[in-house]
Amino acid sequence: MTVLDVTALTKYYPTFQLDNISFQLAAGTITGFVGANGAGKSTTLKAILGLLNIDHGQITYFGKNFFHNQTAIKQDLAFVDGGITYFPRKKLRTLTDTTARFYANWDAQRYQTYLEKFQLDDRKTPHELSTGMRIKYALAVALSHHAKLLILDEPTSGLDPVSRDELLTIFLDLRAQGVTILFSTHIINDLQQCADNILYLHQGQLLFDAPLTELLARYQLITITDPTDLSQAQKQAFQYAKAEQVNGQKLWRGLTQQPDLFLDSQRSAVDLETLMVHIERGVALVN
Amino acid sequence: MLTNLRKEFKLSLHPTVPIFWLLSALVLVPNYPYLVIFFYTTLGLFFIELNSRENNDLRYSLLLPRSKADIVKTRLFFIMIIELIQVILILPFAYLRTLWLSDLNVIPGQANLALLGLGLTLLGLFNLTFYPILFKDPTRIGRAYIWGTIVLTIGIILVETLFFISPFFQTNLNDLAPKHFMAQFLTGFVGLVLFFGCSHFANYFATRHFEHYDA
Repeated sequence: MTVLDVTALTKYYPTFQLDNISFQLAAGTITGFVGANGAGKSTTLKAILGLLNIDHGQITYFGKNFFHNQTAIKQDLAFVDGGITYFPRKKLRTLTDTTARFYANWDAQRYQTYLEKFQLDDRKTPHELSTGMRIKYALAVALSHHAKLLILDEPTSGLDPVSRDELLTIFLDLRAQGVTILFSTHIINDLQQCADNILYLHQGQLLFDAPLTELLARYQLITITDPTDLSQAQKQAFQYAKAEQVNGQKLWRGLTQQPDLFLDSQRSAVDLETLMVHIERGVALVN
Repeated sequence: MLTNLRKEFKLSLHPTVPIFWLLSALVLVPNYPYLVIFFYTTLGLFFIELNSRENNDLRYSLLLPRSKADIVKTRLFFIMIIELIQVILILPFAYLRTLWLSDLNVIPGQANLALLGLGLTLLGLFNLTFYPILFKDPTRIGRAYIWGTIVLTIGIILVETLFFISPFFQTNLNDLAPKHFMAQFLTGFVGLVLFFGCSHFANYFATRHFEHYDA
């Protein structure tokens, strides 16, 4: 079942354009949303949440047009952005009591369960909570109204490795329960642990929309000492090249989709972070 | 609507608003420009909007299962309740004034039903100016408030001037005698109608502006 279907989403700004973005999210999957700063990730998330007016495109949740059914759709949707940023001096208890009344499916029992599980004290204010605890509170609220889709903007930023690991475990549990997660992050390692699919945004355009394993299988990392030694065919296959210093030695690294052109010793598997860095910063040796 | 209003009172009401409500007691001051009371009301509304901005109220509200039109309508309804409480609270203090003070206010404008009508008209005009400008960009509260207070100030000056130049205002409204009750009651009623009319259009224009706003 398709939970979210975005078609030809376009938003114009004077100096930036979110250009014709299309993707789908299947139920019970975790999708990583990546891209460099300024690529348009937050703009995309805001647009699909209805915080921005879009210039073109269609957004469909659970088979319903978002613009005509916004209120009903938001009952099954939750957005978490680095923990709650609103009403920092109000008690969690007050915030929950107010928020709960807006959701037809609010489950007070489930909320209590998550409070205990996340060790949250609802007599505290958001201001008194750490970043990790604020995110957990936002998740507790989201899960207590039985959100079927969680949209998370940088949920693990500013968290220590232990808290990040804990959150990722929670995400995996939620996926097992059938919850769909769209997860924007700069911490690429987190996605390697839990993402099924990757959406890669580059300068306002969707560069990749693929399963993580398939995306990583498309490329191999090639390491060479001197690009002038390469044949013309190898130069053309040696994409997103970048000079790097490794143990005091200058090496050239790049990505290829034609690994057979290179020696076994020059080839290695690529991880998502390396792929992203090379795509963003690498250059073509041959135009 | 009740859930929305409950949210406004629990999360968005600024603590100065109840203090400003108590300023309805200024009608007990023997000689005071009573229309200024309504300026304090608008100051409370300004603080509510500042409070909302600093607490990310808009982001919170937009992520709840609510439409933009619903957010604007609730906010307008919420502030109308605040304004009506301010106006209604003048009544008991005006009654106490009649018990404790026998002289008329030297400054034109008495603590009577006409004052309520004139106040409601001024608040309606403030709403019609402040909220449509505010919802063009809810982060720019100062700009909207400056325009709102300009309209309010012009309104107050105009009403005070009418007390000097209009025989109807001088004779029928600037008095506490029972024989002018009907004129003052009608002024109060017309003020109430204008208040609701202006606030309705404030909601209409504010919603139109807010629909185009990118949060």
